[in-house]
Amino acid sequence: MKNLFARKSPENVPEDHLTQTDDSLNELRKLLVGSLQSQVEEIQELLKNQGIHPEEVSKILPEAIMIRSSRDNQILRAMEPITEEAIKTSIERDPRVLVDVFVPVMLPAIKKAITSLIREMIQTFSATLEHGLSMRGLKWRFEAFKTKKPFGEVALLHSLIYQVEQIFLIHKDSGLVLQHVASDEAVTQDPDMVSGMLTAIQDFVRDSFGGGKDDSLENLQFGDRSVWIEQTSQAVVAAVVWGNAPEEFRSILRETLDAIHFKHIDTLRSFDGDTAPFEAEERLSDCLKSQFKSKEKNSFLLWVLLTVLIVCIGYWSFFFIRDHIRWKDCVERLHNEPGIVITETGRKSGRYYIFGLRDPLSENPGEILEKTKLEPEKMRFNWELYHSSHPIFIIRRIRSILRPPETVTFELKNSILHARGTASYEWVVDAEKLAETIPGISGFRSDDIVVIDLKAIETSKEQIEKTLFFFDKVSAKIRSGQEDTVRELVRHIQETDHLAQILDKDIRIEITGHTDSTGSNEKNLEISQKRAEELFSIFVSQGVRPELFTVTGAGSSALLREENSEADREFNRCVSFKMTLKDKESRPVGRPLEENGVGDKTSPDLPSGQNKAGDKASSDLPSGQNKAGDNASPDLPSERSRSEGAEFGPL
Amino acid sequence: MIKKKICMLGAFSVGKTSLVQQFVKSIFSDKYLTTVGVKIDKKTVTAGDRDVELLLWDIYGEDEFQKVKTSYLRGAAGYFLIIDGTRGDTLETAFKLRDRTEGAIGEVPFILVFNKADIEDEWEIDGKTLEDLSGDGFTVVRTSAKTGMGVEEAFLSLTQKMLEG
Repeated sequence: MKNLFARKSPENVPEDHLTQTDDSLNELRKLLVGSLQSQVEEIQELLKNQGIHPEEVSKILPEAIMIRSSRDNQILRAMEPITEEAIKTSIERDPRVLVDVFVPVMLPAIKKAITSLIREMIQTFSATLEHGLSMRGLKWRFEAFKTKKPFGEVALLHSLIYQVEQIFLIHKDSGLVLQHVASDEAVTQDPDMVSGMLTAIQDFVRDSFGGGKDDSLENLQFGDRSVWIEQTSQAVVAAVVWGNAPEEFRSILRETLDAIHFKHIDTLRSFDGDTAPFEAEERLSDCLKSQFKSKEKNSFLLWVLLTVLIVCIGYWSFFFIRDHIRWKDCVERLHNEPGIVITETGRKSGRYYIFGLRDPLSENPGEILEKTKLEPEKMRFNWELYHSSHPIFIIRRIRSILRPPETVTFELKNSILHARGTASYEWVVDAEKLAETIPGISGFRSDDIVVIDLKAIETSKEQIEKTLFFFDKVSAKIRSGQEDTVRELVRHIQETDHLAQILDKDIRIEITGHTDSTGSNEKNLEISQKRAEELFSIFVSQGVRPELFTVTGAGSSALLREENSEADREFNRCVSFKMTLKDKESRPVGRPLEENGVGDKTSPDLPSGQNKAGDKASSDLPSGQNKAGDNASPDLPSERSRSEGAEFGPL
Repeated sequence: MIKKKICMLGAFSVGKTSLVQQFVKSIFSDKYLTTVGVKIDKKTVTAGDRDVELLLWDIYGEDEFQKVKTSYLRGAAGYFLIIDGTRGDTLETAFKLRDRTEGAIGEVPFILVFNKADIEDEWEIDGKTLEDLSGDGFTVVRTSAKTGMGVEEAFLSLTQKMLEG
């Protein structure tokens, strides 16, 4: 090497000495040094420049830096401020220069980071969408609120189920497995072959679809499993994951791989197939992660709840539908009912309601409701009353106002009301007055009414009370030959009953049994009672209403004739009749005779002997008509009231 | 444990897959199945006092339409160049493949395997060629994937070479 530093040279020749040489000496020198002349001149030139020669420095500078930097980092320290300053100056002058330089380096890295970020965001967003509105979602929302974490993060944490089953650390070039870890549950194949195939697939994909040297397969998906691949220039880590792992797992893989890469960089570069240095590596095992939902635990409870819910819904639906059908039926029935007009129906606070118009004479809606089996508390009626112009209702209204006897029928012709049948004179007079006041009726014609008065009943009464039935001694059977009399009497009674109905009256016939005065009183009472009952049963068997009669056994206490002869006694063995007539209102309605009338004999508080046929008298009949001649006062005799009044009231 | 990646290279239908099958599973099938892409097998051999795990990359056979992709060769510690003795052109293919391999991954140990030794009377390549190649410093092995002849030796021989470096 040439000496660069002139001062350090021991053979330093003074310059003035050279200038003083003469030509001969030069000649001699040429002869002596000859071909070395140029070198000598070069040395002279160098000696002339005592400072550092840049040309020479540039030749040795790189080498000098390398030697020095291998010893210590002084050069780095020296360079640092200068480099910083240089960059700063460059940016100040024109930032584009540096930008142009860095773009190729930075862009792929930025692109990768953004892609990863967007993927993570999409995953978070999907999780939010999926679980945002569910019950579980609400629970997570509360948790997010409590922990002050974003909802997406909480949702992801809970919803991802995954297990990292296997991890391969692979030498990138050879595809040989450096380390393989697997979870206990994982089913593994030969890791070397799997890793070989993975490497081959990587190569295959790159060869087949092009792409740069740094592009690589990052994910393989097959069914529920996926293979997550991360790589550096020397090593590849591939994780087999079951389920959905969070995107952050990739970062974990990356960090692990980077750590291993830097730790074993030399071993990886000079890898010759010996995997021993990697076997002690524990970082990979830390990546075997998993997360499971505790879903299975709750599934039984969930099913039970679900079943209960379905049963409840089914139960409720059944009743709801049933009620709805009944409700429809009810509305239909009411709709078809004359005199009822439905204006509005609906359901409000769990109850059905019907608004409408109703004629007071129409069918009771409550009864219609009962027929449909709909519970009354589920229904609310709101009726406005009105008068229906339907002919049926006009007739009904006429009937309710005129109160005709059952024998009268009506017909409406051109607003003229025609009455037919039989009725009392009083009714006809009243009806003619009332009919004028009924809306929709402009006239009343009673031409076809057969007018009946009390006289007809009087005649019948006489016929009935005149009749007697005779009996043999001690016998309770009517003597033969009186059959025609029975028929005649039955006819009279029925006619009288009919007339009384027309006149709005009730008749009551008292059947009294008698005996002659021979024999004991008790026996006579018994026989007389039986004789009266005999007639009662004959009448009933012939179709007369039983409630018309009272039955009394008088024994021998009410003899019809004084007994002077056997013929008198024969006459006294009989059954006699007494008829009374009363206004309908005065009698309690609907109390049948079977229960009470014949019950005279069963009346516990009265001895039968106190029943006296002759006591009975009617206040509205002339006393002279009392055939038996027992003139009773119009106010009721105390005996009768005791024996019958308890049962029938005043007759 | 030492692991080595070995590639099986050669023209199509020279018997690469059959050799691997014979070596790994001791089976042979007459049925010809063309290899698509790569098939990987593994076998542990003992060379000297060391166990070596061989990862056998059985790469599809090269033909005029399909050149072997050198990316499959990366990281290989050694390779076989399989030649079908009955087809002279497969030797030519083998050398082309060697050149490409060395271009891609540098010089690594390899062995020339002349397969189908069970039908040597049908061979196009004569014994002299083999001797010449041996003379040139190549390791030459005669094998028969069908009978198993020379297969074990071929693999052991390559393993030995790889370990020697």
